[in-house]
Amino acid sequence: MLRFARSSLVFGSLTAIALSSHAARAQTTAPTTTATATTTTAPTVTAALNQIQPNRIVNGVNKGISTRPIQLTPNGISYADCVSDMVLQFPLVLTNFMASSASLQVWVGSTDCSMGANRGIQMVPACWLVATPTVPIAGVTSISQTVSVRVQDIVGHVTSVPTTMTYVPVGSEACSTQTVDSAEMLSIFFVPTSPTGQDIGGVTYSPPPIVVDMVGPSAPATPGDHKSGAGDTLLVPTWTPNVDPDTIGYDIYIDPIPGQETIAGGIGSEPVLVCPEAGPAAVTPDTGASIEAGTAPAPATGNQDACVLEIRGTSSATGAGGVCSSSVLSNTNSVIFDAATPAVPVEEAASDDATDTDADLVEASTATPGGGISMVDPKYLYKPDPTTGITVGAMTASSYNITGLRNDVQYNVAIAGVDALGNVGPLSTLECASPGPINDFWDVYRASGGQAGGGFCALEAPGAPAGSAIVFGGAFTVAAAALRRRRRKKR
Amino acid sequence: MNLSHVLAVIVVVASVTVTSRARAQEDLSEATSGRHRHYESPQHFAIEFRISPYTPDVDSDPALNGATPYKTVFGSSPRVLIGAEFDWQALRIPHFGTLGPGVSAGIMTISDPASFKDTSRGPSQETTSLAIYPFALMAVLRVDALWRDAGIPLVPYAKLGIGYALWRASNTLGTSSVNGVVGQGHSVGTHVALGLSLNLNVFDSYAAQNLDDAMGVNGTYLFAEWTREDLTGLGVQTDPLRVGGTNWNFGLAFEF
Repeated sequence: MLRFARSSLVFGSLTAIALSSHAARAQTTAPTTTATATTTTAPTVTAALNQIQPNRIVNGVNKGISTRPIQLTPNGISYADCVSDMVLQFPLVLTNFMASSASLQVWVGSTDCSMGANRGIQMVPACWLVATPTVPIAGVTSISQTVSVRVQDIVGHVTSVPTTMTYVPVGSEACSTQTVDSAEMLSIFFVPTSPTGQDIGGVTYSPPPIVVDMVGPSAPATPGDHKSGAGDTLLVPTWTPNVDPDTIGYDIYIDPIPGQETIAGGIGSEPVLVCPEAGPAAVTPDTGASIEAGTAPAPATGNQDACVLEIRGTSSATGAGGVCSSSVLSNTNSVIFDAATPAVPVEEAASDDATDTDADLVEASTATPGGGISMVDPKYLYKPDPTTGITVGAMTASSYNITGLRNDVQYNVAIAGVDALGNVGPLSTLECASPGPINDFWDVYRASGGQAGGGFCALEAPGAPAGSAIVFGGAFTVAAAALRRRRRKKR
Repeated sequence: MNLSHVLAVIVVVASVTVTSRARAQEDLSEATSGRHRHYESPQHFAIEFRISPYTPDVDSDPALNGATPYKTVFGSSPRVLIGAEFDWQALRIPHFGTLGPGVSAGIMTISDPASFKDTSRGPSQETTSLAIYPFALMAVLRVDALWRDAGIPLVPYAKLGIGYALWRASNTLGTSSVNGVVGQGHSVGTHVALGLSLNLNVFDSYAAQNLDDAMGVNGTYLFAEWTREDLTGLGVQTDPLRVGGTNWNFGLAFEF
């Protein structure tokens, strides 16, 4: 009885804990509606058709509610989302808005922006205005309306909130403002206000907070001798697993590209697309199409400067592994921001590149590898997983087999950490090696005159009276028959 | 009934009485010393778990003309073979032991770094491996009369049968292949073993009795076994990979 009572208590406790945690989870994930007034005539904002997540618009194309696989936090904001000048479109339902007396403002912050004080009413604002959509209502009690918010406006004021209650648009420089490697949480508030931004008492809508991470993990440490392991048509680069908890895997870049050994890998041979504000990029992400020199388009909005193709510096490393050198696997082509140990920006020498107008980029030789964004052309990425686009999907991984290579060709390899939003961090220092033919046991055995082999199903040498498998099988059959006979006798 | 008959009856009765009393005393002494058996479940099978240092006889192949590819690649240190065996004690020979068929299976893998053909480069990052899966089908004779009739906890045994092994040579990239000949196959031969088991029941007869009552395990043994697996083809294979060997096995056995 006592045991039953004790079991019942334990079961009851566990059930209560489970129910309470479920309720708490439901509270955190459900869209929040902050009621500042309960009158039925108060302006009210709600999500339309229960669509909590906004549509994502890139270059005017609706990409749906996510542009990344489920493993890469598709509802968050990554560096790629930011530099593409993505627009988030929220389908809303506005009720009881009268154009003459009610307006809709969209505020962003890490605090409760439905409170007037946090929006700057008689206080220093903690939130920032990202949009003031037109509310074309006159006497209509309820209407559906899509509200667009630029990602760059969302992330652009995290470190410097405007002191006024006005909309201050931000360009692509917003994508380089995150000061920490780890993700941040921002909330968007659709607030009914007076035309001047004052509280009018209404029901604010706030979708679930958005995860913002625009800084990839720091570069993994690689062996000091810059020597990659090698085998027969095989490279085995090694690295120290990244301690950055943001890391979910690693991208492995290789130069020259396997199968294209004769046309790539020359020092300084690979041009890189450089956008003065956003930093360098190699190809247009959506189409994957290469951009030819002199025809590079400008980013859609937010950065009106045209990008140019240029040949950047070369990354090299010398050690026991030999001289590793690659013009494309270089952090010169990356954007590095390391809040903990900031790299000192160094203006490139004029002799480096006469066309370079970008003073923000950091030379690989002077940068302290930290969090950042790698800008290596994806074509150098080795076998990305079809689902996630990541080469190695494990934070604790410390080596990888690169197969299908050509023997006696030197390959350069660099590793970059990838975070939970798919941000690819700066490259490690180069490792290099040349695959070469090996002597495995089978090679040595056959070369010594051994005649065995050919497969499990291979029969013996021609002329043999019977297969060994037949002998073994026959013996087994005899034993089984004896067993059966003995059983029959017992009956 | 004459006097001689009376004396004969007295002698018989006396001898029976003395014998039964002596047996009673013996049972009592057995019980107090822990050798007394209340009940023993039927015994028909045995199972063994073994571990063994193992070096395959690959280099003994005459086709190699004295070359030692195994030793060259993997060295001469023995590797570990683990295995299991199941015996059916089909026939009990009174005051001698049991006889019946048995099957065994094992696994051994050897892996070492492969060297480059260009020896100046030293070992590569690639591994070269040989995996061997030996099997045997055999007759097993266990002479347990010493234990059952004399109380000496030793059971010598012998096994004789056919040995068979699947094997696979591989490297980091998969199964090895030279000129289209893949590094996998099978080898057949003879299997001979001689061993000695130590019955552990003698050390804790109470626990042994409990094990029998609960699970039907009649005896638990620690054993050492010399095994010779001569996988040279048995006349039906020409130049098989000689993955058999001579080795000492150690392990635990259970009769049930």
